[in-house]
Amino acid sequence: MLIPADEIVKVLNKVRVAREHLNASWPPKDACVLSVMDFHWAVQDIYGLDIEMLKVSFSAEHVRGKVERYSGRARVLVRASQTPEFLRFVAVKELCHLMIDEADDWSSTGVETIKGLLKEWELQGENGTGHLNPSDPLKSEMLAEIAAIEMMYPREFRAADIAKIAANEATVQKVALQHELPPYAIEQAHRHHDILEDCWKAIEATLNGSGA
Amino acid sequence: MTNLSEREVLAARYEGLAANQGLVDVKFFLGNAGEATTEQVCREVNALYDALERGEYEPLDFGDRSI
Repeated sequence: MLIPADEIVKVLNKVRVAREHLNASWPPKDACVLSVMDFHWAVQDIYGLDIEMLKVSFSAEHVRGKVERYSGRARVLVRASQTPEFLRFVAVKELCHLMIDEADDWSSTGVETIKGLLKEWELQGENGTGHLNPSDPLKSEMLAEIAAIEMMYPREFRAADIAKIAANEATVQKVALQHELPPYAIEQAHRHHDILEDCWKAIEATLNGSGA
Repeated sequence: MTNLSEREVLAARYEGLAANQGLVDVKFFLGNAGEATTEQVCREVNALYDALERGEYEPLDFGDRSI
């Protein structure tokens, strides 16, 4: 994952704050499954935003959802024709943009953002190097995905799941069902487990006063 | 009359949202991005907005609220 560790740490700190806010306000009914609506409440409460969420009926191969930010409010738009797990994941990922993106990440020129995202994929396809220096739009998407996965599949579950899958005692699909996530999100979490663990340990060291 | 491309239509829409409603940021969740062209994605986003204008949407509520 070619995003500087300090940027990942910044995002994980925001995830930590959101989880603490949720746990202090409304302890989860099910530790394995994030309440999307409680997370929606938390983002509104922490960031002072009025967030409308809509499920829209349109046909698409590529657009799963989008988020628009205005002053003091935002709108999350999710394509209706998706599996329940993707509806949850897309909604959470778009809410995560509202949590992690700061003013210098913002751009209202949506077509330029689309071009930036697709250009990265073209480079990846041509020579495999497109993600060596991710563009700002792609970096924002990658960080939002990390945040969404962390919210919906917290680190405390991952090491044990990785070990169980390696020992053929579980499958990615079963873990995905437990957390009500698409399987690819579980795969991403496992692929980046070591980097994410290093970042979480850096956060813990800072909180404990022992970090640099 | 010149037909506008999907990207031109969408760019004009975002200019209008920025000027009239104060849009400051827009982000997209794309699937299978490696197979997409800019024009295709813009067509799909335009289709999303057309659906909104026709009222083809509902509140997204997962029914899992504790609060």
